[in-house]
Amino acid sequence: MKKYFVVSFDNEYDLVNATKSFKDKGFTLLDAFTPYAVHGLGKVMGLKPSRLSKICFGFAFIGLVIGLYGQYWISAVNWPINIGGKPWNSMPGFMPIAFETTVLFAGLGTVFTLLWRTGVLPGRKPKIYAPDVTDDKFVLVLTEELGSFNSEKAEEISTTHHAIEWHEKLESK
Amino acid sequence: MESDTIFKNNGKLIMTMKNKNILSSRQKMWLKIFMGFGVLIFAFGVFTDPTRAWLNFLLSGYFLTGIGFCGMMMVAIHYVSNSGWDVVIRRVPESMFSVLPFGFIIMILLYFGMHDIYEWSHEDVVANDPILAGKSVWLNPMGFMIRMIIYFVFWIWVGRKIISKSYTMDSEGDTRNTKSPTGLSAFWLYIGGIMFIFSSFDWIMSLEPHWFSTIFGLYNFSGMFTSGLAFIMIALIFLRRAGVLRGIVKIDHLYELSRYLFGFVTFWVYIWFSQHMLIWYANIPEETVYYIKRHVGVFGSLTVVNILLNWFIPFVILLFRKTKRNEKSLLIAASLVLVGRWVDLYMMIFPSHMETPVFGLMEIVMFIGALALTVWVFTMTFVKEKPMPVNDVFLEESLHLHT
Repeated sequence: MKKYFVVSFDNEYDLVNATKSFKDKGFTLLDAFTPYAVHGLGKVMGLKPSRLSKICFGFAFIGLVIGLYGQYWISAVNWPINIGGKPWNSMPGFMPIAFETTVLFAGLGTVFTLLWRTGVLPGRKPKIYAPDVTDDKFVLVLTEELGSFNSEKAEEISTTHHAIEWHEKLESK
Repeated sequence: MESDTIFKNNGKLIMTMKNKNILSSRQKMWLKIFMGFGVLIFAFGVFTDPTRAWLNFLLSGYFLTGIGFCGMMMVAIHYVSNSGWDVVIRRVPESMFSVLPFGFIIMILLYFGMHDIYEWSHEDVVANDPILAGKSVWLNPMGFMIRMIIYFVFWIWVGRKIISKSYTMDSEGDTRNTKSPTGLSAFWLYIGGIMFIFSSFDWIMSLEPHWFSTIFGLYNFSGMFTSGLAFIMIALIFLRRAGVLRGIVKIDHLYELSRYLFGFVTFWVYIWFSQHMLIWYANIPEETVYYIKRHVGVFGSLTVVNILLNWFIPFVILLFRKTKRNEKSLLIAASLVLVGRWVDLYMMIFPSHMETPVFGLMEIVMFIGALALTVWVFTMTFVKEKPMPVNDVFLEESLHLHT
């Protein structure tokens, strides 16, 4: 059994301040849902910087190597063709295609890694914690194993930060 | 000049700031000495080796013009894109704009050195050369000077109209001026940008009048943009260290600029390579002659240095988030780009008249003199006004920039 504490706010400032308080009091944050990107929220939630850029660089490098080596192998090793009297291994001519494969691998690789890691795959049924979350409300979801969750404390913090609504949700694993 | 300026926003005190003299009197003396030596060695060079002296003169003048142009362009771009983050750093590009009139003076003086460096300015040469005769409609001394005056008058006159609104807003507090220069900025960017393309055709590409490249203007534009960005970043870092914008210009502002720089060094190599590859592919003798000169001997090694300085090293330095948010690594990258701009211009200008590279006291002293003049004009303009547009509507947004 898992217990979720779902609390909604009217504006981003209350959300950020409440997040700070919950974090200080030792609550575990599952996630925050906002209508738009709130600056500074990630820092308050204690999120680690995304590792996606490293993945992007890795894919880009693979794309560059495949683009360069592939063209070298095709035009200089496997099937040499005389094009305008240029040498078979003509680096400047390979550059545009190597550039394109770099961009292609980096782009597609990053997108699919993101989809895989976040689980946002086609056909997935979204989990909606509060109906207002798709509208104009700022929603914070706390979680903890049942029994150790201090509901009274959570409600108290919510009140001090002008929360407009909160409820608890139980879910079996 | 020693005045305390207190910046308040919504009645809340942000900070007390001393708009003091940024440079100590000793540094000012050194700047004057550098400028003086630059002028001296140029005057000496005009009599001993006029071609070399005038080529250096052209390089310095074009560099200065690029710095001034980039300052105005950054201001105009941010008006047109309706951006708010740049408000607290806007006085830096606005002060850079005042370098442009000095570029005008230097480029006008090129009239006296025209015969030493421009082949097409000799009537007897043009008469015996069918290609140059065909181009003489555009490339003639009279047209050259008239076009130069038109370019500079447009850049300076319209640019001043845009920039003065920001300054008057400081004293009068009319917040409508936050938006009013937008239309004029778009006009300046469009016409001024085309003029920059033609100016690079006129001043640099015509050094080798038989050769042509349509992407040449864009290539110079990208070099001008990277060097201007590098200058803005270095200026901001030193202003922070001098305590003028400390606590106001945050590392987030430098981060935004470093992303600009990261993008535009890559743009520079993209354009450099586009020009190179198309000429290499087509392999037409009248076009390849340009690169043959630049790919053999010491010039060949300089081409590699050019790419390393202008793209590869800054690209690797600026690839990481940590280095983009670190003053020291930004200072290194920006300085490399500024030196790279000199190498880039050297590679465009000098092979036209020199078989092998010349590098000596004249090159060093004249470029340092040009840099000293740039810094001098920049700081003199910067200390005259408030270090940031205090009445701009977007000021609050800019102060709270998060990246």
